[in-house]
Amino acid sequence: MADTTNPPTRPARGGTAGRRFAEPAGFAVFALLLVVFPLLAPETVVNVGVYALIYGIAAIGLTLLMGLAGQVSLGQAAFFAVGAYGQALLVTRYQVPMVVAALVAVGLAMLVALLVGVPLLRLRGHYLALATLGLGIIVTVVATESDYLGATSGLYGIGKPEFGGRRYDSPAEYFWLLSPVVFLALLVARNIVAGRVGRALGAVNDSEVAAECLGVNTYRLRLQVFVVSAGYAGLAGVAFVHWIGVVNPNAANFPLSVEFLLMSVLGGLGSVWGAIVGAFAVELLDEGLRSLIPTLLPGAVGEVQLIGFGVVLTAVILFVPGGIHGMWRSMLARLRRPAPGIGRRVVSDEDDSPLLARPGRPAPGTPLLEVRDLVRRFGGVTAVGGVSFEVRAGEIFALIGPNGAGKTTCFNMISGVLAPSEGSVWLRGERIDGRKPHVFARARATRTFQNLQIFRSTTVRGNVAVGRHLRSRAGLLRGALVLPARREERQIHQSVEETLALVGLAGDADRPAADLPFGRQRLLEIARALALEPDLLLLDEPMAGLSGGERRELARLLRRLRAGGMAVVLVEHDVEAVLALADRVAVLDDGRLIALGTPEEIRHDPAVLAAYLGVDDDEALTDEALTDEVTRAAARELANGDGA
Amino acid sequence: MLTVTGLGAGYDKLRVLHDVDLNVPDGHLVAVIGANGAGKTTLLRALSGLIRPTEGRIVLDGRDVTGLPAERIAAAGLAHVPENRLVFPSLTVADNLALGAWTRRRAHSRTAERRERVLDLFPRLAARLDQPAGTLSGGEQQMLAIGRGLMAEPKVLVLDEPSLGLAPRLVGEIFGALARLKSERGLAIVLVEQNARAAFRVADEVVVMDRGQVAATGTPQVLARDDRVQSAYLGGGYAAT
Repeated sequence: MADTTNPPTRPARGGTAGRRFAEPAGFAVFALLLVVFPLLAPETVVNVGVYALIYGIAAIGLTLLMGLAGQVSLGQAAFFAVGAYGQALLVTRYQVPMVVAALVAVGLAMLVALLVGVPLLRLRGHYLALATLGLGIIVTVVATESDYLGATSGLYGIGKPEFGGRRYDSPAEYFWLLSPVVFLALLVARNIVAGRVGRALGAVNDSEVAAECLGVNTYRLRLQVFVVSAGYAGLAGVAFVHWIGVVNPNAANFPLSVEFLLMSVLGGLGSVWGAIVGAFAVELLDEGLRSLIPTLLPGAVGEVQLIGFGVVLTAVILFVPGGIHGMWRSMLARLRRPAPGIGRRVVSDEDDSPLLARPGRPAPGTPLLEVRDLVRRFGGVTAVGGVSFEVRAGEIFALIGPNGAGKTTCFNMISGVLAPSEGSVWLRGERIDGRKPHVFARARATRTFQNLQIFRSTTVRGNVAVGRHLRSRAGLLRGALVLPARREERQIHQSVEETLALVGLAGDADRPAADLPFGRQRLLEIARALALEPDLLLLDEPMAGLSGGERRELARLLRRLRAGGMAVVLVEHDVEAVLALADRVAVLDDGRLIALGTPEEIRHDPAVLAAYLGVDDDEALTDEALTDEVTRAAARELANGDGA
Repeated sequence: MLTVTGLGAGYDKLRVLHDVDLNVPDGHLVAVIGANGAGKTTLLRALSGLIRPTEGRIVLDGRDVTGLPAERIAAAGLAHVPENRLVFPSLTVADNLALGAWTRRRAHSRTAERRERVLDLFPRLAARLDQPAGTLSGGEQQMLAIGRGLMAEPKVLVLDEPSLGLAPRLVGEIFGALARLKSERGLAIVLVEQNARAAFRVADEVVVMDRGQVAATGTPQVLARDDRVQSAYLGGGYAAT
């Protein structure tokens, strides 16, 4: 609709128009800075700059891991050391050409990460942080004790790189040699964040269960990012060893891991740019503090700059938790002043044509989902006690019943969020109970949540784009080399627009999802689920929080989806809507199925009236007169199926 | 009891409410209905001081409370029962209720008496006093959220969608309790509700909001006859066309 008022903008993942121009400009300015820095800065500062570039590469990897995969590594230096030692061994002992050696060394760091990550990333919580901390110690000890690796004195004699007769031995020369490497490293990291994998991992950080239900294989993506992150550290190790010519066990030391951490956090985890900015800030600070602290504290010797780092890290976390990048972003946000107003709802037309039909979908009426004798116990409480039903393609199937009857627990078992205690769930003839939600999603089935699971850190558009995860293919590699993924991203953009229009959210596409009113967040969850183009859609209380008009729009949408051949399972308390919409209704009470039939049959079932509407049960009624009137009216509605 | 004139409010750069007037006498229940994004929740947040009004005045029990922080408005006698209940899930029912009496902690002697009155209103809670609130059903959590609000002995109670996600029978119980609170204890109640039909049955006055403004106001009997209100909020109309 034309008069949808300006959607307020807050920079959020998912890309807005402004960013499309800001980013290439950013990269151009960065390239220019890299070229002129060695020309303008004195040689000692250029020397600091070389270290900033080297460590910055490792910090980019850490920013990916922490900012994107939400995992903390306290052993980034271990992979740095593996890369450095690998390179040193290959070039000094086996005379492998430098570039080939670098590829092997980086691969080695990634292999170590894979071995560590495979068991650990299955676990949630801080296991990875602890394990990487241990890994750093192990690498240090192995390097110290192994004569092959030169024990405490390490390996030395690694030459400065030479290409085409040119020796890169001055700080300025080495800075220029590293510049294209860092530039590409940053570009690849940026592409990972902005692409399909980054979007999915961002969603995982907001709500793991929702991302899984949209088909995101959380474990696999986290593992991939962890391995890539180790590759960055390994590459930094390679660059390091060719610059200073030696590597010793200190390379795997904890203080270096902390320094990488500081670079990432100080720069800001919200953007890969933060890593580079943080690296320069930390390295310059390091130089400054080394000379400053001994004058402040006479007699201070050794790694005194670490005291200063501790103070800076604490201050950053207390006062600028978003880091330098976060400060920059809130400054930009303050500069842009969007016009006031609320995005107007786009009124959908009176169209009743089928929606989202697709070839290859099971014919209407064929069994799609089968639930057999499902039981779920929590401790001594039986939430669901032996429920069986079948859902056919192209029908709307409703599950109603009092609060606590086990409806949502059934949904959780069907969608793989919970494993049943007994019984089985079959989708298209394949048994799926106890498997992960992304398996359910891959079989073209998804769900929404009673307690909303919106991806709060992105826009409305970004939420729906995650729903396209399984309908797009760009993996980490293709996403990193952005060109082949470009076309796919455009297609995603297009289909997201169409899906948003279905639920009347087109005017809100660029709003932060968290700013939507409650009821529209519900519609957003439905749009997100529809983006997957499911054959089976489970909706948990989709009408809750919607006004009367909005409920009617939703009812129309569900009918159109059914006409397109989709099967919809509905948990809903709006009895009138359920009876008008559903082809069949199942009634749960206290974990058991007490009725299953057409709306007509359910409407007159005395057991349903007693359990659900409380007509024959007034033990808990408080205000006789009023409650009686309310229940009588509700019973009338139930009996007539039309309103007051 | 509660008088609002010319109220405007919003978030950061976004103006949501414009020139809202509201008058809620003792023993009256005013229901606020409207589509999503109409500003209902924002209105309640402005009333209870969770956001600062940019214009207008809020007078509570003869006292101007405009711009006061939330805890001062609570102490002045307004209890806010937010959307989605927000009980403390790991605390017991009894502890949740005790926390509700926080602003009245000096009148400690009367806490027990107030708790009895809450349990009299919601007998279901009495059996569950020692249970963690997270193990209650949705309806019981809503009762607890209202009960917690009442522990502060408010003069004005504002509720955001108490019927959300509740089975019809529980909606009846909750609204029955609201009717008792206004008639027996003379509370002034502001109720935001999507379940317009249930709201119309207990309300003395209904306010329809649209895009941050009051679009219509009147008694439920009068408004129910308005065609637009009927079709937008009350009518069923789910039948296929």
